[in-house]
Amino acid sequence: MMPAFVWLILVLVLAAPLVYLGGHVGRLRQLVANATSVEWETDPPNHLSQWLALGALAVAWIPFTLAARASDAAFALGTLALRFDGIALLLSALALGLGTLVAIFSGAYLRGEKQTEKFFALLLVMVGVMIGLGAARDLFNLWVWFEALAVASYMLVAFQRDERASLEAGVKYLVQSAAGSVMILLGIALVLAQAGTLDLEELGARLVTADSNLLFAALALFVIGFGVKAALVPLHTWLPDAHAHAPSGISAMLSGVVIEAGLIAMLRVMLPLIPHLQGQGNRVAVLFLVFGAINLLAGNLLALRQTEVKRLLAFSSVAQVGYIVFGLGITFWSGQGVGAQGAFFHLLNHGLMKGLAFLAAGALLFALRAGLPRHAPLTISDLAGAARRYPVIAFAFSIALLGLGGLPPLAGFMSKWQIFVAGVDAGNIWIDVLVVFAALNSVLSLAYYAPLVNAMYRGNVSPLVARGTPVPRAMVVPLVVLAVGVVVVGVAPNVLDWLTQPASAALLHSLGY
Amino acid sequence: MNLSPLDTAIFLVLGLFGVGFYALLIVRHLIKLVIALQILVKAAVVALAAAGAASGKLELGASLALSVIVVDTVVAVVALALALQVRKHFGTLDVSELGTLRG
Amino acid sequence: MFSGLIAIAIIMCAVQAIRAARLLSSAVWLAGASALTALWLYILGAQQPAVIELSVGAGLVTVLFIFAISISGEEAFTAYPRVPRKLALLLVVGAVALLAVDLAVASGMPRAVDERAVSTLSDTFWNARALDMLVQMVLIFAGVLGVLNLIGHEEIKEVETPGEIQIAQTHLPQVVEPENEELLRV
Repeated sequence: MMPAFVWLILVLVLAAPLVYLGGHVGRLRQLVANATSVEWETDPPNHLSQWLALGALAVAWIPFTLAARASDAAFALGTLALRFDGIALLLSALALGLGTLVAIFSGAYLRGEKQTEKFFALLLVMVGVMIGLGAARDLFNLWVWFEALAVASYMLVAFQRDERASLEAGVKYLVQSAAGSVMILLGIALVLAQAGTLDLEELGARLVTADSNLLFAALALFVIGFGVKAALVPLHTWLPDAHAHAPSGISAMLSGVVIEAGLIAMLRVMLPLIPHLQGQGNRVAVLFLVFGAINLLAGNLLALRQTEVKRLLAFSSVAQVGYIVFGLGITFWSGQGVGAQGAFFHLLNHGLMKGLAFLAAGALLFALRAGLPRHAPLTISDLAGAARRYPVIAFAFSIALLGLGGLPPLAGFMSKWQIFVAGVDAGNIWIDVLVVFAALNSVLSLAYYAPLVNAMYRGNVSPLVARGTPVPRAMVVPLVVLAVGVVVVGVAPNVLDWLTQPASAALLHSLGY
Repeated sequence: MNLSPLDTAIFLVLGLFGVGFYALLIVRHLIKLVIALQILVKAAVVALAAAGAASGKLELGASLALSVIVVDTVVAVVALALALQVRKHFGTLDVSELGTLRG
Repeated sequence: MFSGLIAIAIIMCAVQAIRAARLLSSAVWLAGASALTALWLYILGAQQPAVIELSVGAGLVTVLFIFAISISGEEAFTAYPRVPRKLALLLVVGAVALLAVDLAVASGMPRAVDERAVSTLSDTFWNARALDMLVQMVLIFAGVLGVLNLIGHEEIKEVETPGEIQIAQTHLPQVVEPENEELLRV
C-alpha cells in the first residue's frame, strides 16, 4: 500500500504526458472543424490541455489532504526512501497551491502562444518533482529530483522561444545552474568517500569518524551549488533575467517556490553534516546570518534602481530570500525552533505575496500589451492610473507589494516580526545588530514598493492604460484568492501553524536538538 | 611505483574541474560553454565512481556515475537546442552579445 | 602508472578542447577526453559506466555537438575572454588549491569500508536505486518536451494545413521588425 503522498507525486507526473497528448487531440479536432475556414491570427485556443492539467491538479488535492493528515509517512523502493515530513509537507502545500492558481491564470495569459500543452505538461512536472524533492531522503536521489526540476524550469523560462530576452534568460539560468550542479556532485562524492552511504538518516552515524575539514569542504560545495539555485548573493545573477522574462505564471512559480525549494534542498543536505563539524557548527550559523544580511542589502539596493516592474519584483526576491536565510541562521545559532518557524512562515508568505505580485504584474502586462511594442517590458510609469481601469488587480497588486514591504497587518509583517523576535531572543549582541539592520532594510524596501503602488493610484492615466484591454475573469480569480490569503494570514497568523510547526520540528529533529 | 586508478582520482578530478571552471569563466562561445560544462561533468563522474571505490562500494559509485551521465546528457541536449534557437534569433553564439546585463 | 598516464592524457584532451580554435576540433578533443575517461573508469572496475560513457559521452554527445555546430556554423570571434584571463586563472587555482589542501590534510583519514556483501551494479542501478532511474525518466520527458518546444515548431507547422504555413509567413516580418528595433534600443 503506497502512502498518499506517493500518489500525489504520481498523479502529477503521470498526468503530464496525458496533458501533452490532450493538447494534440484538441488541436487535431479544431483543425478538422475549421479545415475550410482557416483565418486564424495565431494557433487555435487550446483548452483541452489546460482543462486536463486543472483536472490533474484538482485530483492531486485529494492525496494531498490525506498525506497532510498521515504525518511522517515513508515509502521505500529498494534502498531509497521518500519521507513526507514537516518540511516536505510545507513545500508541497506551497507548490501545489501556487501551481493550481498559476494553471488557472495561465490559460488566458498564454492566449496567442503556440503549443501551450507543453507549458501545462511541464508545469505539472515542475510541481510533482518539487514535492518529490521535498521528500527525498538520499543525497544523490535529491540531486536527481533537483535536476528534473531544473530542466523543467529552464524549458519554462525559455518557453516563449521567439523572445530574445527569454532565450537569454534561459541560457544564463542553464549555464549557472548546471555549474552549480557539478559543485553539488563533488560535495556528494566527498561525503560518499567518507561515509560509504548517502542516506540522510544513516549519514549522521557514519560520519562520526569523518574528517571535519573535508566535511566543511563538502558543505561549502553544497552551499555554492544550491546557493546558485536559491539565489544567494553573489550567485544570483541569473535570477533577474529568468524571473523577469519567463511567462508571468512561471515567474510566480520560480520566485514563489523554486528558489525556496533550492533553499530547502540546501538545508536537507547540510543538516546531517552540521553536528560533525567539531566546533565549527557556529560557523554555519554565521554563514547563514551573513548570507542573509548580504542578500537583504544587495537585493534591496539593486531593486531600487529598477524601472521595469517584473525586474524589480525579481530583485525583491533576492532580498526576501535574505529574511528566510537569516531566520534559519538564528535557529542554527540558538538551537531554538522559533527562528526556523519564522523562516518557514516567511517562506510560505513570500510564496503567497510574490506569487500574487507576479501574477498581478502579469495580468497588467496582459491588459496593456496591446499598446506596448511586442515583448517590451512593463515599466513603472506605464502603470500610471491603472487603479482606475483595473481596480481589483491594482488593489491585489498593492496588497502584495505592501505585504512584501512588511506593512502590518499583512502576511509579510507577521513573519518578519517573528524572525526579528527570535533574533532578539537569541541574546547575542551581533544578532541584535543584524535584526536592526534587517528591520531598516524592510523600511528601505518600501522605497521601491511604494512608488509602484503610488503610480497605480495616480490621477493622470498613462496612454497605455487608457488603451488597455479588459482582463479575463480566469486571470483575476487567482489574484483575489491570493490577496485574501495574504490578508487572512496577516490578521490570523495561526492559520498556517499546521504547516510551519511540523517543518521547524523536522528541522530541529535533523539537527539533533 | 604502482598507481591504482584510485590514487590518480584526486589529481584527475581536480585537473578536470580546474580546466572546466577556467573555461566557464573565459569562454564566450555558447557551444564551447556547453563543452566546458561537459568537462566539469566528467570531473563529477570520475569523482563519484572513485568515491564509491574508496568507500568499498564500487557498485554504488558506479550507479551514481551512470545516472549523472544520463542526466547531464539531457542537459547538454537542452543546452544545444537553446543554442540553436539563440543562433536563429541573435545571429550569433557569442554570449557576451546576448542583450545587456542590467543589474 | 598506466592510469596516471591516462589521467594526464584526459586533462590534456580537456585543455585542447578549450584551446582549439575550431569548434569541430573542440568537439573531437572532448570525445577523446570522454573515451579516455571511459578507459579510466574501466580500469577502476566500473565497467558499466565505462561502456555508457563511451557510447553516450564519446558517441552520442559528440554526434549532437557536431550536428549543432554544422547547423549553426563555425563562428570565429576575435576572442577576448569574458573574465580577464589572469583573474580567471587566479580564481581557479585558488579553488583547486583549497580543495587539494583539504584533501591532502585528510589523506590519512580512516575510510569507511562496507563489510556487507558486494552487490552487483545492475542490482544497485535497477533495484536498489530504482527511484533514481524513475526520476530520470521524468527528467528525460521534461527535456524532450522542452527541446520539442525550442526547435520543433516549424516542422510541425509544415505538416499541418496550408493555412498555417501562410500565417507563419505573413507573421514573419512582423516578428522580425520589432526585434530589430529592440536591438537598436539596446
